[in-house]
Amino acid sequence: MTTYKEIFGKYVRSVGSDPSAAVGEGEIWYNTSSNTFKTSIGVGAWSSGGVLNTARRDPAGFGLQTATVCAAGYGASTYTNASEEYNGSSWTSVTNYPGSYASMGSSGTLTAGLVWGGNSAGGPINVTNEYNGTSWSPSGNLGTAGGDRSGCGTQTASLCYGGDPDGTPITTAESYNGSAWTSSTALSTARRAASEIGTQTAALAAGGKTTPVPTASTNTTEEWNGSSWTAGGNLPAPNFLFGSAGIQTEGLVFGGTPGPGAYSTSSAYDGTSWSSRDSLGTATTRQGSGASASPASAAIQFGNNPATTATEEYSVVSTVQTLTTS
Amino acid sequence: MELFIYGTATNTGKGFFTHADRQNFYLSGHPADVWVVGNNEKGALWLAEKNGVEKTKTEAQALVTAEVEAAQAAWDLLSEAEQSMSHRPTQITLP
Repeated sequence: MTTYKEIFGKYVRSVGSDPSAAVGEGEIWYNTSSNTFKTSIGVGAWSSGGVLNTARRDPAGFGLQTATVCAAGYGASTYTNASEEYNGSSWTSVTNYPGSYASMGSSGTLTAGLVWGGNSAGGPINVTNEYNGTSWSPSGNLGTAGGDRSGCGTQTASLCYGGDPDGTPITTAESYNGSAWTSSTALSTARRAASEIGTQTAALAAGGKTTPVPTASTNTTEEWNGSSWTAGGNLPAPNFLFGSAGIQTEGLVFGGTPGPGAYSTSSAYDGTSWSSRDSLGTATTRQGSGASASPASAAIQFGNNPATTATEEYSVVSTVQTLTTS
Repeated sequence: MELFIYGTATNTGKGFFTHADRQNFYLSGHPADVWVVGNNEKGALWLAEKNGVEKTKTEAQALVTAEVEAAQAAWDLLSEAEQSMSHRPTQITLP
């Protein structure tokens, strides 16, 4: 029988007490007190975060889990321009977004953010605004106005794809260079409110609403390599209006809806296929989310439909586990 | 033994439920501050520590239903254009 030493070149060490979960991650050891083999693995789970000052759905969200911006959205009964910053534990009101809009696309960081498009009481809009951590300033307009025009990237290099200018999802994609949007290669499938994962040259458009029919969402995905869209692994179920985070080879989507109702499920993408992750504490849709171009192991989401103040954070924490034969 | 404990508690933000809580017991939040918690010692302790008010499943379901019906009534008052941008809230059946 092959031994552990023959495989790994060293024996399993025996210890009287477990090392800390962080130190022991990826190792196997024998605990002589409990007479058990143990290891430490990273376990992802959602936990509650600070409460927004203004309840809302469909805000723009960008930044990291510990430095996030929530901009505008739809409040209890009307559009709001209220914006807030999150420091990892609480939200603080900051300079209002230049318009009362919802369902915008967004990218970047707290000190270098980008928000585009959206819906307003007057209809779909095409404006773009940059955020520097203190104030908003206008930039070049989108070529095609619309809400739920998903995208990702940075303040100087973003990609926008799909959306819904008039009730019908579109394939249109646009590229931003820090000052202007230009036409880019269109998606293969028209989709609204797809995932916002990746960068301008390595994006992932997963799910989305594909036709005006209320329940016509898709589980298909498309990967962008900077020049073309190709089919990626299908989501476990049709979904849109969900939160997302991560990069093309380490993505995470959470919540959302197949039409009516809301999911609490989360799924992770490894560049090929999706697998289940810990469920949200509360089923959500139309939430804002951050970490769109960062590792999905530190995601954040806020808001819900109907408008709420709740925030949840996804973290992977090292946890000691006892090995069993089952 | 029942699988779940039902109760109401206000989400106070960071730390209301933690990564460890999610490992220790089932937890799901619903409209009207209703929480469904796995019926074990740690789940019960969590609800008590959050100043939760335990409800029967019927009572909790009634709270959720009333909240969703209120949201549906609000949605019904929206203009057709606004309705086209969101779905009418649907009823939720607690586990």
